[in-house]
Amino acid sequence: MINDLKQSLKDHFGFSDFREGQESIIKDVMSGKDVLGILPTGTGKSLCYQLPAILLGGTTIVVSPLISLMIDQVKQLKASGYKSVTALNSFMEREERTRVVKNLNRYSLIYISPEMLQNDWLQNKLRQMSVKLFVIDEAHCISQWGHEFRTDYLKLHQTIEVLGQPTVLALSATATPDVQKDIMEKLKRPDMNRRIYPMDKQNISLAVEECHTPEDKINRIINVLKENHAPTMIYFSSRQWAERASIELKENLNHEVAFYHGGMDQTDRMLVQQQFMNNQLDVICCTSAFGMGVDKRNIRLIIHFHLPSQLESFIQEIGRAGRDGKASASLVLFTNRDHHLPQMLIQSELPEQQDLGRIFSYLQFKQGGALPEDETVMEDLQLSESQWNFIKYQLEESSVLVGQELRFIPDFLQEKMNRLLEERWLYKQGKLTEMLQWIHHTGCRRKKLYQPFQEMIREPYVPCCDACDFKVNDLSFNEEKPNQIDASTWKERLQLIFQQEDSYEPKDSSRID
Amino acid sequence: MFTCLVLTCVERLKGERTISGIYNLLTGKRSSQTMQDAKGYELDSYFGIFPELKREHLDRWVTFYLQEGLIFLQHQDFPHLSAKGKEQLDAYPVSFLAHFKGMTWHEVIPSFIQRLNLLIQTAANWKVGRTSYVPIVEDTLSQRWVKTVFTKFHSKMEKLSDSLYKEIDSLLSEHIEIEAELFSHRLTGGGVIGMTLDQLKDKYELSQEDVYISLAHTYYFFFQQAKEKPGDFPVLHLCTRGLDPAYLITQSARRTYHYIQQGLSMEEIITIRRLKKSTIQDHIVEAALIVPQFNIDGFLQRSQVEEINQMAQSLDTKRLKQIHQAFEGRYDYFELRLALASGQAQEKERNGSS
Repeated sequence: MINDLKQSLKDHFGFSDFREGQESIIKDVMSGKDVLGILPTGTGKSLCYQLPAILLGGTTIVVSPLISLMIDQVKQLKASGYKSVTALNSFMEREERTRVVKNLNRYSLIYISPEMLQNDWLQNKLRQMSVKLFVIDEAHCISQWGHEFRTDYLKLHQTIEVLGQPTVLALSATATPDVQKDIMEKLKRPDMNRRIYPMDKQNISLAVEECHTPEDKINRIINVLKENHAPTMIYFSSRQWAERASIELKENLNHEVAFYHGGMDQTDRMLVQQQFMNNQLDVICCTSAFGMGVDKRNIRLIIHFHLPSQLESFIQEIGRAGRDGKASASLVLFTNRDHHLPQMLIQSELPEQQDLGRIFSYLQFKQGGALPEDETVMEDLQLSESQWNFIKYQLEESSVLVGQELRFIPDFLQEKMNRLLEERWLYKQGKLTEMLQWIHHTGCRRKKLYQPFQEMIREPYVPCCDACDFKVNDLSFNEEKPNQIDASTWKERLQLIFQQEDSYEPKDSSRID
Repeated sequence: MFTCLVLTCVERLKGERTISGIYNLLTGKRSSQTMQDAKGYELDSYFGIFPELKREHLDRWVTFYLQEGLIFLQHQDFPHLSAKGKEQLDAYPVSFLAHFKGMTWHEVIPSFIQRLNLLIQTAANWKVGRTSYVPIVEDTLSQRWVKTVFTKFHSKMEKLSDSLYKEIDSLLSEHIEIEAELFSHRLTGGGVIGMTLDQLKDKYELSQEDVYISLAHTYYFFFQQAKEKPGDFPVLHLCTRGLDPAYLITQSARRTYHYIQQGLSMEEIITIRRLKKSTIQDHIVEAALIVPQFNIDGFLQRSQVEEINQMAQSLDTKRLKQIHQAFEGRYDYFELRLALASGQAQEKERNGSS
């Protein structure tokens, strides 16, 4: 069977070997065992269901909360020749969605967003098909203690039941032991096979530096990059800063630099992403919108210009470095005022306690009738999407909101939500505090970072961290220069596009993860 | 280029419309007011050619033009062209905006751009034997279109790729140099990923708006050449197939139009469609503007239409308020709009057929 699997891997994906963890998870799944798989980012989580989807026959459903990731994966799979794959989500045009749903049984692999999955007619349609494998990507979202709690995920166990108890594969890149336990409980599958793989990266050195001002941070980045010419990602939590920094870096460095954020138009976003993949760029100044599903193997340096709001996000983001296994580094820059930004982020995610009164009087006014569309409510109450989702889920949970019908609101509900909010708020603050504590930690950063997730921290085979033996100033990455495109006039450029040899894209950058 | 465009708008609007009017025109707002302005002030070529224009960016440009003394504002918000502005405008080569035909094509140009970009990537990659790549255009309709072409011409892809190259080369050779530069550097294929608007802006030291308008201008040029000369540009022509002129009439207006054709009165239509009177009136004006053969005899007599148009001409204005006053309220605003719309449509027809 091992040889068969390897042969299939070669036939369908062109790889000759599995990466760590893939093979045992696939074997479990193929023999009908439920699996909880914790695999660090960049180790090929998605192959764990993509290969079984082909081999098992029938349909494999993948629930994923990240629509952009979902779309990226479908795109990449299609590009590699895997055609019977599709994604269903609320961003699709209606026509397109109808077309896909009509032909649903043509696909062997279907990505679905959790909120779409709650749709009755879709569930009916799926029930008539033979669903062999039910995959929950980013499974930590099911846990309140996970760093990205998604209320939609709590209903998944019902869906699994409706679909006739297919094999379940829950995957995550970051889940502490508590969260792992919670995932199995919430899925009502206590006997899942746990396949946990260490997430510490042995090829990434870690460093944190304090700066006085944002301008100092930019100067520091310029200094570091003067000594290092290699694929680099710089993370920002604001679009303005990503743009501003990219301008300054372009002026002061001999690097190809571009910015990327969610506010750019779609074509340009696509172009920047592909340029980076194609080694036409070496530095990308981005928000967290970049990089999901982008598998570039030779990123050497990840710099955080702003702090993420929790260690889990940080671990995922630095996990984009060094997927080729070669030496890489992470550098975090902070000023003593930097905790404000993540704090604001948390505020935009949760409704404020003092707003509850206002929200409830609005709801009481509407009770006994139909609740308007989500957009209208969000507009009326001036709430962000995730703020409203929180409220809406609580209303549904206590059967006050059934479909669009808003029933009588019991007195205790506001108080209950108040308590819940306080809990969530404390929890998120706690996460942020962890992040800040790590920044100010004076012992080994590697141990401190990974300890909550695994029992044993492995020895790195690069310098460890700035508390141990790593100095940022010793870094000197010198990858080959980015693809210089030799075409100065429009005529030459056109000739290049239409007639040049295929010498611009290294083969490995198109690998599917 | 963008400046040339805005100054042209300011000049033709004769101080009778605000900055918002220009914004609505360029972004192609579907209101009967905007469409009527486009026709009336002979700006229909520019209708909807810049749907992505941001209001605050236009405002920034306007502030700049004010500082430079190219335009001045009257009655707070109504821009006029200054002598200096006029001078600058006249200095631009006519070719700068020559190929725009927004009112007719703005709806299908985005599809053309997506088809063309994806076909270029596909054909160019095919030529160098690259079969695995991420399509640069995400729109599924365009992807399906390219797939169909690819299936149909599979055995002739080499020829198709070569022809496409030659067609583009020959069109760019007779096109404005800087626009040819921008266009070719935007393209993706054969192992090269195209440049973003921001990168083009830096490379050629232009503004983002200039880059956008220049690219759009080139696509309009290509599109019309391809439509008109299928023999010269067979592959480009393929990209224009099924992309037809928009009879710029909204779905809703079309239904109203059909009822009128069936002989229903305005009151009857209001009852059937359960819409406001003013909405139905908008539809009628819209139809009169777009459909030259639309008979408005049920609303106004020929002689009245002529009278109103003559008045507008002698006052040299399209402003309803002035015309309304000149007639001392003898016609209501709906009648005035309808007469002007009908007059413009007929004038257009005459010019078009001569």
